[in-house]
Amino acid sequence: MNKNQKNKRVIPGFGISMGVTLTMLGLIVLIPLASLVVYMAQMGIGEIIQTITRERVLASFRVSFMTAFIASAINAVMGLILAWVLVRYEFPGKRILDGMIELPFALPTAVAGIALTSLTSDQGWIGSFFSKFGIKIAYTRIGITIALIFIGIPFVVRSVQPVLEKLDASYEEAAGALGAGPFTIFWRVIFPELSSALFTGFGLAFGRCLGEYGSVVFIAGNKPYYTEITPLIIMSKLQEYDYASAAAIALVMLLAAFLVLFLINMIQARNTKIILTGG
Amino acid sequence: MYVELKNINKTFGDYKASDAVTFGIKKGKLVGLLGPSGSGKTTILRMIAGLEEPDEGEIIIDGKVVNHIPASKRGIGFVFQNYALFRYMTVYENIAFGLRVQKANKKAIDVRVKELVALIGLEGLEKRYPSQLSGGQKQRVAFARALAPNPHLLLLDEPFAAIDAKVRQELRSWLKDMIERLGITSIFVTHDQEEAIEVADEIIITNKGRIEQMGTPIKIYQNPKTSFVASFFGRASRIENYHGFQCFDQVAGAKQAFIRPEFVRVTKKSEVQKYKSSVSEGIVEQVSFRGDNTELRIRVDDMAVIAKRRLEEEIVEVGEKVDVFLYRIFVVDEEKVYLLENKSLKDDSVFI
Amino acid sequence: MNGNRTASGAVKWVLIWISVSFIGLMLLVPLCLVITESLRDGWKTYLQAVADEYTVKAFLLTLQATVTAVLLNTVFGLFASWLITKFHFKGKKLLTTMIDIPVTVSPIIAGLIYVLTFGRQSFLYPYLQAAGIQIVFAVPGIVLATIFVTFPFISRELIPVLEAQGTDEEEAAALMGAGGFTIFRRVTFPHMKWAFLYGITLCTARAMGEFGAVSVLSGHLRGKTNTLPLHVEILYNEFKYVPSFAVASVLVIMAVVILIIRSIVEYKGKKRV
Repeated sequence: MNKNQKNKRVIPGFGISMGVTLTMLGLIVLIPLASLVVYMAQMGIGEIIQTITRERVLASFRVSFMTAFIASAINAVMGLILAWVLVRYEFPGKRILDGMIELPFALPTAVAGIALTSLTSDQGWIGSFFSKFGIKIAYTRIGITIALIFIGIPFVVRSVQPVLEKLDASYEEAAGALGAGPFTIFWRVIFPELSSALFTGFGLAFGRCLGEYGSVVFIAGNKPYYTEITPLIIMSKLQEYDYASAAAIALVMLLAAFLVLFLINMIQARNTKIILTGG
Repeated sequence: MYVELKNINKTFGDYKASDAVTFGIKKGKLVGLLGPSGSGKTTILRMIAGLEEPDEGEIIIDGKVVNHIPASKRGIGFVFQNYALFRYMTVYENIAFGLRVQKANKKAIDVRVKELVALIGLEGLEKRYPSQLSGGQKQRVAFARALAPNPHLLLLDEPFAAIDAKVRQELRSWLKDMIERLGITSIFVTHDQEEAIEVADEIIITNKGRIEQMGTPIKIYQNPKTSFVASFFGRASRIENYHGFQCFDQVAGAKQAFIRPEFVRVTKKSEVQKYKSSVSEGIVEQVSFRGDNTELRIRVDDMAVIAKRRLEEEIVEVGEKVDVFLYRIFVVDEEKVYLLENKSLKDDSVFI
Repeated sequence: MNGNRTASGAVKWVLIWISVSFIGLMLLVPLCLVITESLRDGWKTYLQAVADEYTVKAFLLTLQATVTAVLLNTVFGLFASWLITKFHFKGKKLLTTMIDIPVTVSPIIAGLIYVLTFGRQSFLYPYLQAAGIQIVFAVPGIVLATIFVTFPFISRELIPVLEAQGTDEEEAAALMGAGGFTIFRRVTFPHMKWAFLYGITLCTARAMGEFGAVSVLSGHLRGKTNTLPLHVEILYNEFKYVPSFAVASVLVIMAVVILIIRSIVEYKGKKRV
């Protein structure tokens, strides 16, 4: 404790940094969040539960959750492959590939939304191909999943890449010297080192997918019970000035997002524990 | 010869790591590769293991040329400097890894792992993770892991570099003991002379990618073949022109000399010195206590000579004038090292 | 570094092919579509849509919101990362988590909470009305929403870099009598130059493209409370596809520029290390 107090006195700026940080945090993040809670308190538990258990709302939870999960799972696999390819191999155009990964971050979700919808509608470049087999993509859950895959691409790749880059070659060399082939080395030596980053990336993508609006709202078609995602229900309620319902549903979403974050942190902590202190 | 390297060349960019390296190691021997950082010793080790490929030359193990055989199939055990224990596996699983790869049956694996755990003295710690072990314990597990699949050749890359000084001593004797018991041909890399002398049956000295000399520790110490070995091995003072010390033969073309502390006898003016006529006078510049002796730096004319005195002898002080007698010196020309004896020693019949 | 590290040639090329196809399909194709659709009716229509009065107004509003958000969040990011990485205090972990909240919150919810705070049924509303300030369904609301969603972007980039740097240098400077600002400028800033630029780039990208939160708070009034992304949406929903894609293409170009800047910044940053 002594050193901490000394630190405060030696390096200047504690007071003002704390002041600015807390003020801005309070005004921009905490107070608005608090108003949600205050509003909820005014509603009463009974009304809240009633709102969120309405069939349509529950259906939207299911749609959001499932599509987010599948999209994030696909991104987990593809993200791992992408990170591996970017770190381990050399090939023409690699730098361009690496630079493109952040596109979903840089591109406005609305633009992604209309582009993907156009692409996968029955007249679109890709949609027309699939419609020959009777498969519709736009305005279905498949479409939603595709949009969610799009926005989730960077999360897993950028989570796994740094870990893979820093991985000490001697682990693989040791396994190789002991007779292991490349697949064994990957599964038993490399993968455990990556699994924590993989989970983190999955969790981040999943959290993002749950709350995504812009890129999904165009491609979903927003048919209640079928392709209506939770953020969209909230938006509809807001447009109807039904703030109460909107707030209640929003609360559930927030809780889900926090839960995901919490789980990620726990898994990360557990893995760090094993490396640092042996579990 | 069990392991042979023939004319190995290896370059990394513009750095020549191995320059016409050729040597052979007999079966069952424990050999140390000793040299300064960047001398190429680790590269040699890794090429024998198959972790690097030579640009030219042949690597032969047990009569077979192994250049194109991958590391996983060479039947060697490798111990890394930083252990490289698999962080997500227990001690047991680490040691069992090589056997599991060989698809040995479960019972056999269990027997062998338990045997090795007992050998390295870590019973009771099988379920621990590497992060729960001390440096010395980790190195022993790395050793056991390398031995588990019964390799014919054991390679160790600076195995004690990352370990505390005190533990290092214990581990060194333990390792030498183990290897002798198992009788396995072993090669280890080190930059620590003491370690090489203590552990190895034979030493190979490397410098700038080349092999300077190979032989038993004593032979290399007493008969260095190159000026590098003469200066590197042991603690020597370098003299630019030894003719200042008159009692040595002239060697054509050789002026540089190396003087080991044990070649020098320093006597106070007041002490008895047999060869009083052959001494040079010097002034003591520095006196340092070295634990079991006193080290002196003495200036003779414009040359600095390092010498030692026993603790029981009378104290010598800085600034004192003393007599310096050289029993022998190493004189070097371009290629060879000559060991010259003080001529006065031959005329032992001449007494004062 | 050969032998075991590179898997057999076949595996390598299969993986590369999978990666390139995936990215090509998911990222490149949509981009191309935007460009081709926007030019479908020729250059004249394209330029008309882009130079349209409402488009320009939307662009300006987007710019206004972005610049404000980036400035404010940079200030915040600097102070917050200084606070968190140079000092020890109770509740630091909680503070860090709270700062990251905006990243995890859905944009719709972000918009919602601002509506609840400044909208008609909030307790602040009477005061705002008295002062003649309208936040919800007006420009201030849009700016606020943009600030919220990009709030931690700069601090998140700075914190890891400053954490890795430690406090020794700053302590040394302080002990020699340097003032806070001097210490920051000459000791700390050089370490975080590239992370700083990177954070600003990310923040700008996100601010320009924000859609959901802004959508909630905007009155969707053309020419008044529409940002560029919102404008794209309006045009699309009115079936004016070509103009919609034309405006979208502007955003695409900006996104690509940002990606290039980011690549350069990252490359320079890595080179330094």
